[in-house]
Amino acid sequence: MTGNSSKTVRNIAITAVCVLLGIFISIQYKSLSANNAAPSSNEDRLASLQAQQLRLIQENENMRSEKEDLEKKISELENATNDEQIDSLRRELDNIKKFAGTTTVAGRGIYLSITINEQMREATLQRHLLKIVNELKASTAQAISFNGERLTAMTEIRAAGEYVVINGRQHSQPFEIYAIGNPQAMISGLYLSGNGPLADLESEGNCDIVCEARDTVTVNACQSGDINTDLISNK
Amino acid sequence: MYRKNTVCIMLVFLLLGFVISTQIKSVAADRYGLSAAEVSEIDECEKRIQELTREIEDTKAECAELKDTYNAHLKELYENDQQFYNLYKKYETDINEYKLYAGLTTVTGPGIDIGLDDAHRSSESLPAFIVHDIYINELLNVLKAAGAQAISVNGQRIIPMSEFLCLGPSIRINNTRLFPPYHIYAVGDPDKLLAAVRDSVIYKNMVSENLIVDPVISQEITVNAYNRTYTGYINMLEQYE
Repeated sequence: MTGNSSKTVRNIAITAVCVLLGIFISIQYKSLSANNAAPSSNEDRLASLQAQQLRLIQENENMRSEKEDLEKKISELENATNDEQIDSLRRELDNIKKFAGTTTVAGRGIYLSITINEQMREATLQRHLLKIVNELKASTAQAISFNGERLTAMTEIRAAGEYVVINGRQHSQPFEIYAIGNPQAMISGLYLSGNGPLADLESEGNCDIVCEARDTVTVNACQSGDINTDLISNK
Repeated sequence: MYRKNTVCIMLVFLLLGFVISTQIKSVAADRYGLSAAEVSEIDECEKRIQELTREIEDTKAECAELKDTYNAHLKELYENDQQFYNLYKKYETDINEYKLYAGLTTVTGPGIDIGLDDAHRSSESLPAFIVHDIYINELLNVLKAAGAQAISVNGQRIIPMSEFLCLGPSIRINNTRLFPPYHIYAVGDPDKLLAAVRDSVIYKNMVSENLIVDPVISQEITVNAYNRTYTGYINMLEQYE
C-alpha cells in the first residue's frame, strides 16, 4: 500500500519534470531559430539604410554643385564686364563640348593600328577591342576615335561577322585608334609588361600591330545624331 | 528499483540544468553581445541620414534664395541691356543643351534597372564567382548597342572616358570604388534593352556562373549627373581649328 502510493508520486514527479524539460527544449529551439533570423534581418535593414544614405550623399552633392553654379553666375553678373561674361560662357560651352565629344580636338597622344590575319571568333575579337579601349580610358586618355568614330559615353563596340559596329556604323580592318592623353602611360597600360590587353592580343593571335606615340593626333567630333536624347529629360 | 528511478531522475535534472544554462546564455548573447555592433552601426547610419536630410533641406533653401537673386539680375539685364541679355540667354541655352549631351545633368526616362551580385556563397562546393570589370564592360556595351541614352552604375554616370577596373572584390569606375551589389540604371526603350540583355552572350555566361543578374523594366529610371569637375578630362584637348 505505502509502496504503491509512493510509486505513483514518483511517477507523477517524473512526468512533471519531463513535461518541464519538453517545454524548455521547445523554448530553447525557438529562441535559437529566432537568433539565426535576427542578424539577417538586421543586415537587410542596414543594407537598405546604407543604400538610402548613398542616395542622399549623391543628392547632397548635386545640390551643392547647383549652389556653387548659381553663386558663380551671380558673382559674374555682379562683377564682370559684359565681354568677360561672354568669354567665360563661351569657354564653358567649348569645354562641355570637348567633354561630350561633339567637337574635334587635337593633342599629344598615340596612334594604334591593329590588323588581324586569321579568323577570330566574334566574341573574342569584341572582348579584345573592349579591353584595349578600356585600358586607354583607364590610363589618361581624354578623347578616343576608332576608325574615325569618336567614342561618346554611349558608343558601342560590337563585333559582327567581319565587321565592327561603332556608333551604329560598320567598319572593317585595319582597326585604327587615335587617343589623346599621356602617351607613355597609355602604351605601358596597353602592354603592362606582358599582361596588358595589347600584349594579350599579340600573344594570342596572328596580327600586325602598330603602336606609337605622337606629338599631335587629331580626334574628330562625333556625328550629329550619334548622341540621342529623345528619351531622357532633365530632372 | 528505487536506485534505478533515482538515477533516471538525476539524468533528467542534469539535462534540464544544461538546457536552462544554454537558454540563458543564448538569450544573453542576443541582448548584449552579437547584435551590439550591428545596432550601433544602424544607429549611426540613421543619424547620418538625418544629418544629410537636414543638410539637403538647407542647401535647397539657399538655392531658392540664390535663384531669386539670379532672376532679379537677369530681369535687370533684360530691362537695361537687351542685346547683352539675348546673347547671354543664347549661351545659357546652348550650355544647358550640351550639358544634357555630356551627362552633366541628372536625367529621367523609361529604362531598366539591372541588379548584379556575386554568386551566392552558401553552396560551398561551388567556387564563389565575383562580378568582374569585363562583365560590366560587356553588359554596358550591350545596353549601348541597344540604344541606351544614359547609364549609371551605383550612381556613377557613365561618361565617354569611364573606365572599368577590378580592385579585389570591388570595381573602379570614374576613379571611384564601387562595391557589390551593383545596380546598372539605363534609360532607353525598356523592351529593347531587356531583350538585348537577355539575348546577350555575357548575360548567359553570368547566369551560368551563378552570378545574380536581375534586369527589371521601369517606366521611370533616374540616372545621376556626372557630379564632379570634368576639367581633368579635357586639359590635354586643344580645340582643333
